[in-house]
Amino acid sequence: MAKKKVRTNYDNPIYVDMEKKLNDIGPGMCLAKWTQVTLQLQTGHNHSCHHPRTHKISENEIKRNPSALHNTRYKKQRRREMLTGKRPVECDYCWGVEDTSDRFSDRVFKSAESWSKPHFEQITTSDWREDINPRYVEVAFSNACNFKCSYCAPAFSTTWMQEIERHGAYPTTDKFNSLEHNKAENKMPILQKEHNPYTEAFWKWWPDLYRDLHTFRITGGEPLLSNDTFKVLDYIIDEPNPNRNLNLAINSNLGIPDNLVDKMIEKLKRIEDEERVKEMVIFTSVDTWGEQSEYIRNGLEFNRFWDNVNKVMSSLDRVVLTFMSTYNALSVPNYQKLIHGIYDLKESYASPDRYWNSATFLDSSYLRYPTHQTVQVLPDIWNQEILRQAQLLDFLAVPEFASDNIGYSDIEIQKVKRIYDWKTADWEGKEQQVKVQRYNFGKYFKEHDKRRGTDFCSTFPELEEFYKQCLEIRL
Amino acid sequence: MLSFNGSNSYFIPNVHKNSVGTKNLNEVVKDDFTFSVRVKPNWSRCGQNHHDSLGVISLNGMDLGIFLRKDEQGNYNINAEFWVDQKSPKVKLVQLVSGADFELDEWLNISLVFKKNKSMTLICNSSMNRISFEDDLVDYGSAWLWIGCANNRWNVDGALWRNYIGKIKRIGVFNKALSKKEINKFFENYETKDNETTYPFFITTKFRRTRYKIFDESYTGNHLCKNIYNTDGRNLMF
Repeated sequence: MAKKKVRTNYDNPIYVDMEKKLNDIGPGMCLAKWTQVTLQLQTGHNHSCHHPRTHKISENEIKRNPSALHNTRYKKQRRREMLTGKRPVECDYCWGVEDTSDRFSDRVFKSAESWSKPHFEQITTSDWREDINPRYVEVAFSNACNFKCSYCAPAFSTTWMQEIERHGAYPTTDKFNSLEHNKAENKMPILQKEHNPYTEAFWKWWPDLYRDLHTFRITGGEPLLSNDTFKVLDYIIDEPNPNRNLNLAINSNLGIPDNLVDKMIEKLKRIEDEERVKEMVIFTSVDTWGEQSEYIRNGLEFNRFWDNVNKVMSSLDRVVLTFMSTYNALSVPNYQKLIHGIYDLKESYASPDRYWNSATFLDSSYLRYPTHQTVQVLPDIWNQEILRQAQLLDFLAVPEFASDNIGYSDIEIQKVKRIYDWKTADWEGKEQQVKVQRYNFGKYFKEHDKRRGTDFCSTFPELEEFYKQCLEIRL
Repeated sequence: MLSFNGSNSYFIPNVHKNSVGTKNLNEVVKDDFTFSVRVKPNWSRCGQNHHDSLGVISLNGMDLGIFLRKDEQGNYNINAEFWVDQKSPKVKLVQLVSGADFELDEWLNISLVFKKNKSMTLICNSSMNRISFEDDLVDYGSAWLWIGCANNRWNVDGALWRNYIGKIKRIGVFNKALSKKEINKFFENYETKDNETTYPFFITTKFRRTRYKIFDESYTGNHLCKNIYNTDGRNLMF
């Protein structure tokens, strides 16, 4: 059972109220199981909320009912547990938070979101067998991707798949990116050129789904390499009665051929000009600056990427661009340059016409897996550098988050501060874990340089000594 | 360099909103500290009364800091003001006049050095005046540090603002009672490596800035915030 909370004055009444309402239904209740879904159509998997593992979608179910892409038999059982006072085991992330702290767990936050909260009554009075259209949908149509970022995996990148098929897993203790795991979990991606029953079901479901959507986010792979992405945009453009409440988001590495960037801009411009959606956000990714970012995200040409960022921002007057930065060990030496670069973009493209208060955002999330590339592997001497980056963000901060103020918000600052807090945290067994991770760091990047023709030491001279020490580790 | 026209000011709050500082002001004021500023006041705008005296650097509340004031003879003085906690009377205002001779168009290097339960020293250029006392200062744990006024908190009467008029081109706040030698080094040729021995809380010599902040060269993360009032008239703390 959930622990009784010691409440403080700082508790947001919205969350206090939502938690009570959820607990009145049951201690495991969470609206996200109904309202949210991430569809990995390339593998036929989904999950509602990113905490539980994904589960396989039944091909038989979607033949009869395409909404079973979301409303799987498996998920309905979990909904039943929630409605009957049980806590689904797969949601143990939240139970861990609730049982060991006074904090709200994500089930409260997600249930209080504007794409969840309005549906509370409908959901809690429904039968667990009923189908429902989710309001927040993330979809990956394909794993086609021209990048093979150092921390990514074959399930999300065709170029990674090619490398692993040719050379096998990396020689780390956990056999990084071995396909055995994908096979065991039934997560081998369907090639883009092959018939994909999940994509087929998606398009059958789409006209009905589209009408109910609050947020639709296209991920990948690289979404602009998938025709389905442009099919979505064309649908919105051609729809006589568009869903003008839709928040549309597209991920892109912005490192694809120019004609695809131009094609995306052209379509988004029409959607923007004709006010066919409520707002549009492009999510792109970069983890540090220049040559070092090219090393981390293999396939990236930094200058071309930055040119494309400027092209998107100058062509689309209202669109907002968010940089999803997977902050990892290799980000640390020069992340401050990225902080300055994005600040310059905020200044250049600030406009009250933008959908959000800032033209660009830096969303820094720390890498958790693969463990050999997280910030934890770095010696403590680098801790101060991470804190200084948080301090730099604070220096470049706005006094109030409003469209006429230009700079970083508290959230952007806090996300880097959180990385520092995590880096400096201690736990039992950490030393031994880090030793293994450093051993794997050496093994991984030595093999990386061999396979990809890269040179770690010349790209990261700041980390050369550390890297060589890692290569000396014996387990 | 910062220019003050009698209505603008800067501050550092007592605790850091985003917790990215390695030292909070409320810790600094519980121990030895030093304020150092290089200033060129517009003396013609400095008055005799409390409300038209000028606050250069100040901890607000029962204001502690460096102030400029004209005396009854028409002389311009550099004052230190602070309050001590004692039994009877409960609190006492102490004023220390530097006694320095200076030209009215001269840049002045002023420092206020506090040694806990020992002394408060006011230094201006090469002149020094010290007062010894063993009592504690009143609790400045909730005070903000102001540059360019005594106190510009939104809910404070205008007579207590004491906004500075003039220029400031070097500011240092240290969690240590600096020696004369260290103070001279701060004004003449301070280097980043000196941070290791001076325990700085905030330093600016280059005045690297955004629209809203002055960069803290001490790398403790205590950037100086421009005082901005929100639409409700309250100070924006950021």
